[in-house]
Amino acid sequence: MILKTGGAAGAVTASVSWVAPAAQNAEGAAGATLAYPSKVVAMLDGLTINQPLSFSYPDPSSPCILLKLGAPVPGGAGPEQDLVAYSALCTHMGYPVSYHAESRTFRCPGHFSIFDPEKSGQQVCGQATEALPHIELHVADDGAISAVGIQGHLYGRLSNLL
Amino acid sequence: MAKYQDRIPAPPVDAQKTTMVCHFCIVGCGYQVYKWPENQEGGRAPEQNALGLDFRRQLGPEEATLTPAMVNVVQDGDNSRHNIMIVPDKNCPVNKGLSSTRGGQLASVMWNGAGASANRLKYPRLYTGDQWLSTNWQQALAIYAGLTQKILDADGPDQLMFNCFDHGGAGGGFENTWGTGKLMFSALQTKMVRIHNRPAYNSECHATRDMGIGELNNSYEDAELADVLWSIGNNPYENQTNYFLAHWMPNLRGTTIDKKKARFPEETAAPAKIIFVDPRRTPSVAVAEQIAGTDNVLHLDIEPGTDIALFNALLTYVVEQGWHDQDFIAQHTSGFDDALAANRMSLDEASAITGVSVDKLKQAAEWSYKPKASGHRPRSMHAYEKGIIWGNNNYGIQSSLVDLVLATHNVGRRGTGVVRMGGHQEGYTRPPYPARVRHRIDQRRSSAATARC
Repeated sequence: MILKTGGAAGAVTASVSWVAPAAQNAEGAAGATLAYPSKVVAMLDGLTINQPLSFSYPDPSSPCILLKLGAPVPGGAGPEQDLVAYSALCTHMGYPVSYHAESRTFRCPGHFSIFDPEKSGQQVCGQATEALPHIELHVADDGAISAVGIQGHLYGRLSNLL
Repeated sequence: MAKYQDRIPAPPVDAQKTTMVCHFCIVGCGYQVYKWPENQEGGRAPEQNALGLDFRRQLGPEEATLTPAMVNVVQDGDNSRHNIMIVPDKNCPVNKGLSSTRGGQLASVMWNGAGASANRLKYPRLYTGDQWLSTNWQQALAIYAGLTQKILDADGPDQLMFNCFDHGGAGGGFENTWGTGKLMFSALQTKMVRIHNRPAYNSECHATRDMGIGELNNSYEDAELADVLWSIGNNPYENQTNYFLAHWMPNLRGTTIDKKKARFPEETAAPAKIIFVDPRRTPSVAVAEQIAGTDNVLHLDIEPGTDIALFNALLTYVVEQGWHDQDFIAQHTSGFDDALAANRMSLDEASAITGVSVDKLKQAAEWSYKPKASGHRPRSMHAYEKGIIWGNNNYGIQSSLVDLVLATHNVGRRGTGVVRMGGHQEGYTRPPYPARVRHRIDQRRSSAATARC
């Protein structure tokens, strides 16, 4: 698999991690065990392509980022299948990642891990052992976007629900 | 307990706790192992779990490095099943609590009979009838010993050729290499042995050994004290991650300046600069630029295989500028003038050969060897790896590097060293290699002695 390049300042020509990210179920939180809340986080017509929107889920101490990518992606929600959201805490050691619109990657300032929102949050380069946790989204008829579950393990917790 | 996607079991306060060294790469990071009976679990309050952490709230960066990859269930010899959690050790001076993408999976690779570990080989395999079949040890040994005996009797030991691994660190290196060495060298007495990554039974660094300094001559702390860090044919962010992040990165950020001032109170102290010698723009180059800023990172992107021209030109230039250490050379080397004359090369010539501009070559020399504002000689650490140890010309390249290092006294002082970064952890011990004469390979002197690295 060709991973997203242009990582830290366009350095990596082809950085292939030997770690396969944990298998994820793109259809729903079939592997989840917790009773996740449903929380409206944005309206569909309030989003701009490739412009990140911050929210918190499942509680105020868990920062997340919502993206409208403009083209269908695996696990993408909404009419265009292009809506994705991820935990903003790096799964390596918990520093907040930021979205780099030009390369369409999340970057961590702590130890330089890079994640790909177009590939279920998998790591492109770096030291994490897990993909960025994927926040499951549901879009209602009126365009309200809700977070409804989490695939993957949030940094700094035993359980995704405190 | 099943491995949940979205939660991790906490070790109870009475969980067995042991300390281990990661057995993946050379760096040798400390990890802590918690083991407790399956279907038990500690609580979220700090007094309810062995980690002593308060999981009733969100923990901050580096407060709790634990991921699903750091937990597993294993089965003991008595068939009892246990949870294990293997997390980075904050008290270990090597990694200081950092976890890499290798060590972060120590628990995941433990054998439990399921997942990837279900594929582990348990019985000898025999290729027969166009397929691999499991067999028992009695039959396997009968075939192995019978065939070996036949070759020994008919043709002698040198018709037995071994292609073998030769180290293993925490994976059992001492025991395994001793066992295979007793078989190959003491019992069968063949010298037809090659090591996993080499065509012969030799060292990757015989030049540095012949020149009297070997390939390991500093400590991790020297990377915190250096004025300039060289990374030659080496990609430390990816391959020696926690050595780079825990010891190089603080120096590049300037957070070890107080330590430098305490050790060398009369010397100019500044954040380290870093020089990469690599045809490739590696992730380490990009990461170093993020840490230190592009003004403090120099990438000598040489044409592959032109390292000797680079180091010979720097040696020539340094001596022309008078930046070499004449006392050290007089006291600790021989034949220096001959070496200088034989290897003389101008910066212009080297630039044409390496493809690196004269300006960059001068910049590298000034950073690394020109006296500091305080008048003291810079402390430049030269770290190298596969780019100059795996190649047909590794002897010549390492010789030219060590010439430059000796001329500038960048070995044997704190904050210096000319060292391998390493690949695996290595535990090695074998009986002597049975060959009594040195072999000539490609007209080049090649160490066929017991040396290895």
